[in-house]
Amino acid sequence: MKKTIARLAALALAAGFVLCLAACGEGKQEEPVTLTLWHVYGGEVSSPMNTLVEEFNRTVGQAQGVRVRVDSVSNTNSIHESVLAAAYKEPGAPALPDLFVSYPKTVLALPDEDILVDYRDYFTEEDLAGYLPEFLAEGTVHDRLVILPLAKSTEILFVNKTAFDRFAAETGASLDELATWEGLYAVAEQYADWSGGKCFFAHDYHFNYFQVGTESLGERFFDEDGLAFGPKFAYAWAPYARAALTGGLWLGSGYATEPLRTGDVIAAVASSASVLYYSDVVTYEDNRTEQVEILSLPCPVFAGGEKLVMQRGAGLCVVKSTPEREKACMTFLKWLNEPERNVDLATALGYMPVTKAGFDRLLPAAIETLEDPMYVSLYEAFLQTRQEYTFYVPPQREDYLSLETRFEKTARLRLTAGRAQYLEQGADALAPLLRTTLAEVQGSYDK
Amino acid sequence: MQWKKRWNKGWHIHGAPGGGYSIGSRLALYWLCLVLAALAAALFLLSVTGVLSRTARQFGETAALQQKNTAAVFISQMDVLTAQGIELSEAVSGEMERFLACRSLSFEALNDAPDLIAALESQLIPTLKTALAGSTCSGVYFCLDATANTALPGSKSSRMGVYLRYSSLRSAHPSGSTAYFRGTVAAARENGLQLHNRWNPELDTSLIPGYRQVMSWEEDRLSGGCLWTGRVPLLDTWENVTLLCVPVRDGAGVVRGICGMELSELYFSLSHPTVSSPYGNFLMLLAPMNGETLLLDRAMLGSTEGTDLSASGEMRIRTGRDYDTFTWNGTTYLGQHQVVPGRLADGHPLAAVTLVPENIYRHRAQSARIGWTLGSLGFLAGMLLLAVALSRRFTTPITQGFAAARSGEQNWQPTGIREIDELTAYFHSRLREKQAEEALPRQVESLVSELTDRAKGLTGTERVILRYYAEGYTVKDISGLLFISAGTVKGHNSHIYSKLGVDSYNALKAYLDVLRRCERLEDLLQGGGK
Repeated sequence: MKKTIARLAALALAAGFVLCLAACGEGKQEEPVTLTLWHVYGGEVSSPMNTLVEEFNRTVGQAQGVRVRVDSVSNTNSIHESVLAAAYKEPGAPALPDLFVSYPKTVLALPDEDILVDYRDYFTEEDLAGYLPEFLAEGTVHDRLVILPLAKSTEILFVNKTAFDRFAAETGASLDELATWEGLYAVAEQYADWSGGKCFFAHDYHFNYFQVGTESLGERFFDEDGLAFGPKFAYAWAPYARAALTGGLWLGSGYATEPLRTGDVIAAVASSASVLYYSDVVTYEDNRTEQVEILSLPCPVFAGGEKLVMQRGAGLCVVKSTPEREKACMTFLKWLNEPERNVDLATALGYMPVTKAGFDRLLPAAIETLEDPMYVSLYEAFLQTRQEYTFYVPPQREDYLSLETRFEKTARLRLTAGRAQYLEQGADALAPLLRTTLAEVQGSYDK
Repeated sequence: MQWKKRWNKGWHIHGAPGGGYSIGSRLALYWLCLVLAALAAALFLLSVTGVLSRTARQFGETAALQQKNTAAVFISQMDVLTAQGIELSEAVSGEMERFLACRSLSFEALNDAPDLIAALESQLIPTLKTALAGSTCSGVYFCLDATANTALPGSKSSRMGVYLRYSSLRSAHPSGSTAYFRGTVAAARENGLQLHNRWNPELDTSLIPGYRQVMSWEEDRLSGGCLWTGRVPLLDTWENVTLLCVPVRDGAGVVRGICGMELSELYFSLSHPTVSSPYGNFLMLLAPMNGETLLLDRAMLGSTEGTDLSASGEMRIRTGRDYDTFTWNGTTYLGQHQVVPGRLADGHPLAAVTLVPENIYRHRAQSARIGWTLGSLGFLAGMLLLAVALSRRFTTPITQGFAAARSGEQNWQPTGIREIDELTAYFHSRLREKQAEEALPRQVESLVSELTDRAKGLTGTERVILRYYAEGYTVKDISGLLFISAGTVKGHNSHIYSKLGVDSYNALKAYLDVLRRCERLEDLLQGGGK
């Protein structure tokens, strides 16, 4: 009897396990891992990055159960603020995404850098050997590779050639004068005079102008406590402030794309990546529009200085989560940074690719296929810059962003006030205003 | 083995004579185990066949409950935004009337007057900002039926207005910087607003579905003139939006433009996250319906996390008894839908939809089924093992009890089963009674005992000779058997007689005969006891 019961029990157990295993096999279909992404590639406009994300979701993502959801397309400063708010768990702050675009300054400002994945845990040495080493070095913070390069940019001088030609035809100004800062600011003064007070030039980051300019003249821009304000800084200040006070330099906040689009300026130094936001149509106050030619030129330099230009372009950080999510992030990033795809993305956005194969082998061919004259001009300037300039990488300082933000606000505000005084008091006030505005900016950094 | 000790301890305590369990209670427990085992087997079979796991009806009830919530959320959101849109319309209308009255201008004077347009827009921007801050939306706008330059081609669809939207949307409670999407540059700069990267000074009304309908509305109540555009792409951007269009009237009741709120696809997705349930995460959709088809390319989707669903193509609906089945792009979803109030520009009814991907539902249901199967299987195995253990526990004391009863030992251990212990005790008492009945008379017993005691003093040879006598041999026989002389035998005899206290061979034979009858002869021959 006992043996019969034992046999029955064993039989029932075996049957049960077989059924369960069969059921497990049937139910293997699982939910995809949904990753959230905050990026900067195409904020407010049609985004090539979003197109790639959709392609990934349709193809590799679907096959491997990974789905990427773009939760924000913004600029790096907005993402910086949001990431810090989320990392510090500030009231009302959203949760950190799985992937976000970041500069080292954001990583340095995090309460704990360990919340980010070290890519060396997921990328082999062979994988990383495919990237340009200087870009990997830029993404290495405290010996951990936490920012994966995706696309790099530099600063380029964009000129509304249609408007410049009109101005040049009457004044004899030449594009060659825009090769140096001294020449550019002189033209700006001339343009303001010619146009009845309109601005000629806008710069996305005045801070960058002084940083790269001072360093190119052989002087340290930063000191231990903040900004050094040495003699070369004062040298760079003079033509810049003179153009601002006489009306040739745009002092409004925001990116240079805005005044260029409204015809308020006809030249701007900005990231090469801003080509995506430039329009070859200028819209005037009475709704008239004008088709213009946007010309790209290498960034101006000081006459006696080194040919130095800012290297820009953030990378992607992955926030630590579960091994499954982190692995899904790597699946997406490795797919995204395949050399061909990286070149396609870079050239659609006005960036440089970050892989050796992309840069050396694929980029020249990709440039030849470009049709948009604005992009053709940009990549000509890009290649010239690569040949003739040295790239300057900003230092990794925790106070970098605060120094930059304070400078942008203070310099623009003091010069706007100075401009009002200049208009009120006339040309005699120019020399004293050059000194006082500099002193005021310096004074705002007094310890 | 701690439990075993406790079990045995308890067993013996309860099993003490006079206490313990009855066979009936043991059998009842055993049968209870078998009944439970049978129940477990039935549960197992039901689990395997899926009867006990999630049923279609249970899912239908859950989906219906979630559907009620989804519809309530959408209706409430649209109602609140419509009320805020009407409020905005009245505010814009009032500001516009004051602006024109202060300058003694007619509405038509705004045409071809960029400065006037910029001034009016600048005056209305604070109203828009207030509306944006106070509404649960991603943007606000107004558009008036005038343009800065009537001479331009396409001026008929280019209308003045301001459109503000949040530039960085990352949570369901929008805040942060405001981008100036449409409006004059002068008004933006006066109000410290940053132009959107795809800014334009005026709105293109040809891209706003329903604009003409709202502009031609003539009824009395503003609420009757409100409609929603459905999902439309936002020109030159990567985003899609749904716009609420509310008529803006002048003092005479003539519709002079439209205003309203924007719900961007991203904002809608963030503000309607998935809702978890035992069947997977429920998704929420607000989609125009065309017969039995949902027009997903014009729908607003809540969070689609964990699925491949996107706002494209059409979704077929098949109505079922417990729930509806939706098919999109080769993928099946299960859920419910219902038409909600809300006017769409294209006239299609608007449906609130609650969905869960079928594969996830099946996966979850399968997991529940496996859980039930394993649980019932474990229960069955447990019950069978318990029955075997109980059976063993039940039969062991019975065997021990029988052994104890057979042995007749006085110090037998109780088995713990009342009936067995009582039976054993009965056997023992019967045995004692029988022994008492078979006892010898006292004098005979005394004689037997005395002889037996005396026999302890016999030597080995004397004991052998005594045994031969008891077996009926003569002196001569014994002499031959032991290879000794008859005299020697007689010598031993005298010692035997003296030690046993008998005086003759006949007396010895008489004593041996008595002992044989009393069945005590062996005691004597073995030397006085066992």
